Amino acid sequence: MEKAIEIRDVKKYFYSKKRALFKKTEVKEFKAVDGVSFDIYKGEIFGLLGPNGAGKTTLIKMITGLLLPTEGNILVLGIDVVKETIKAQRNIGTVLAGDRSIYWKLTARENLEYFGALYGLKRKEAKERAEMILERLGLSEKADQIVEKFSTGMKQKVALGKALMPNAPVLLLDEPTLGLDPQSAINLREIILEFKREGKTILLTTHYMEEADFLSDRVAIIDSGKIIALDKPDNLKKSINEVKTMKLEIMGTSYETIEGLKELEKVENVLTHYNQQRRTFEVTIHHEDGESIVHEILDYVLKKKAKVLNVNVEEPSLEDVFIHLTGKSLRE
Amino acid sequence: MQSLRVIFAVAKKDIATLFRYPTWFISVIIWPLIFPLLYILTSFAYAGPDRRGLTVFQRVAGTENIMGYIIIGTMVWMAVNITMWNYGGYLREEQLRGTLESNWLCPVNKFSILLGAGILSMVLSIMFSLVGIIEYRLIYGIKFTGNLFEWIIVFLILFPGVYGLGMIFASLILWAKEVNAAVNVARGIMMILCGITYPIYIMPNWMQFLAKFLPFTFGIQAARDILIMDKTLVETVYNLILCLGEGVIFLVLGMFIFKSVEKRVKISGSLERF
Ligand SMILES: Nc1ncnc2c1ncn2[C@@H]1O[C@H](COP(=O)(O)OP(=O)(O)O)[C@@H](O)[C@H]1O
Ligand SMILES: [Mg+2]
Repeated sequence: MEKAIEIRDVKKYFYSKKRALFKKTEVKEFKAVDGVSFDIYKGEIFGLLGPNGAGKTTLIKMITGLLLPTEGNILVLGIDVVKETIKAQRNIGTVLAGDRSIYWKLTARENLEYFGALYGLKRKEAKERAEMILERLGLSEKADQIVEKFSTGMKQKVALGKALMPNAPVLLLDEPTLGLDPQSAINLREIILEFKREGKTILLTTHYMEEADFLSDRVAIIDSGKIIALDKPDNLKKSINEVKTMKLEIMGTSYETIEGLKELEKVENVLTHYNQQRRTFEVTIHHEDGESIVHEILDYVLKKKAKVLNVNVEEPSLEDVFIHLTGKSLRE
Repeated sequence: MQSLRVIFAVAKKDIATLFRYPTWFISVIIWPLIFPLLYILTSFAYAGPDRRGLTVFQRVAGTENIMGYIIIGTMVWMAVNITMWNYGGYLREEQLRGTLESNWLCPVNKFSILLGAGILSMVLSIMFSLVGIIEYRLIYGIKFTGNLFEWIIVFLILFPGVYGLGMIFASLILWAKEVNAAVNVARGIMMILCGITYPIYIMPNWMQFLAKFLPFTFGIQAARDILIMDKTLVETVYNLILCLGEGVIFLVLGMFIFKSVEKRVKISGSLERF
């Protein structure tokens, strides 16, 4: 398959200086992206899944030429982003930081036409393209209203529209559904799938595992600046087939009691989330044994006089893959 | 060509935004009136009840038209000041808003964005000056000398210095957000050095020396020569050339500093909001 984006051993280190009076300045090194290599093929949706702070945005910014890698090479359609930044940028439409990336004091149309000009479109071209995109994103009615008054979902759409102005073959979407209500998120995902059908190559970052699973042809899981797994979503889930996932909802217990579950043989990971509203603990348990352990777990909980409200044995999700690999949850 | 389109698009966007929220218009009318008043009234107070002291100032300044003298100084200063505030803070403002990265993602030479960013400040400066001149004539009864062509020349020789200064500030403030304080100090120092309400030769020698590195010092002098002292362009050619020459150096310096800041933020990643 033809490659749209090639990422070769890319690193990004940030240096922060700590200055104090009468002391030597200390330079601290932070590895935001720490040796990443992968290819994205033409026409696919490639998902980059990882928790907050994993290095997703930093990686996207390096691909767009906003940030210089400390080491490594990035090619977009064969063009070296560092050496020929402007040429590479012509092939990329990017959505970063969603609703804040557009001008709130301009109308939706003015925003699109402005960025059209910066993407090198002639006036007439920019006007026509803006009209077409507004139509397509369902913004026609509000096209000439000031963005300030739009909902987050609509602002996000304008930001996406801006990225579509150049009609570039590669789209980079950084957390495109962040902060959207469920319905808008579903809408946006539909739109993203349409782009794929048109043949665009899409790199999408997210910390929602359902989103990565639903949209992506392939998913790379990133944690602490490193890619820890990369495959088709199904393959990733299959890869932990021997690991079983059990979800419990428990009332009247404590974190300490639940921690005790880790002592049970064949239990691999225990993750707990306290649900404030329901006043219950939601516990995810990974274990390597099918039947007998369910008994053992329930026994343990009941002995501690806790009340079990719900038991589910589930198919593994991408989140489980992440938990299996890192021992922590995606949402932290 | 592409650069021109970018410069124009940036300016158009800024101007559209400004005109959408027209409260600023009040300041265009009020500020040119108020700003010189402080100095004019102060000078009257120092001159004594019968204004006898003014003759001393007239001798020092080389003109009878003390009000005109002060007004030209404050007018040029206002243009410089608007540029430092607006243009100087431009990139930082885009950064705080979150739109700076969107611009940087675009396949254009980022310097054209900076060039476009200065246009609004220039338009505002011209508006302040024009409104000022009309008001001074009608309300203060100042008689201006020279013709339109000469006035335009004065404006043109001031242009590169003002633009360059804006670029320098815009770049520096983007690079080190905390230099804001330093920028304020610089502003104050410049205000004193370039002699907006007095001739610079009343300052100590070392201050005069520093003043000669500012194009505005000569620009203000040239503006006074043309607009109130009825001199010809040839008679003030020394000031014109120095103002223009130093202004061009400011421009080149601005471009240079911008390029280096552009490179730095790519390494440190400080284009984003904080
Ligand atoms: N400009 C910067 N300077 C210093 N540290 C940064 C900078 N940008 C990001 N980081 C740090 O790098 C890490 C990765 O950030 P980011 O790529 O934004 O993560 P993600 O998008 O996956 O949430 C974070 O710990 C963040 O604090
Ligand atoms: Mg991010």
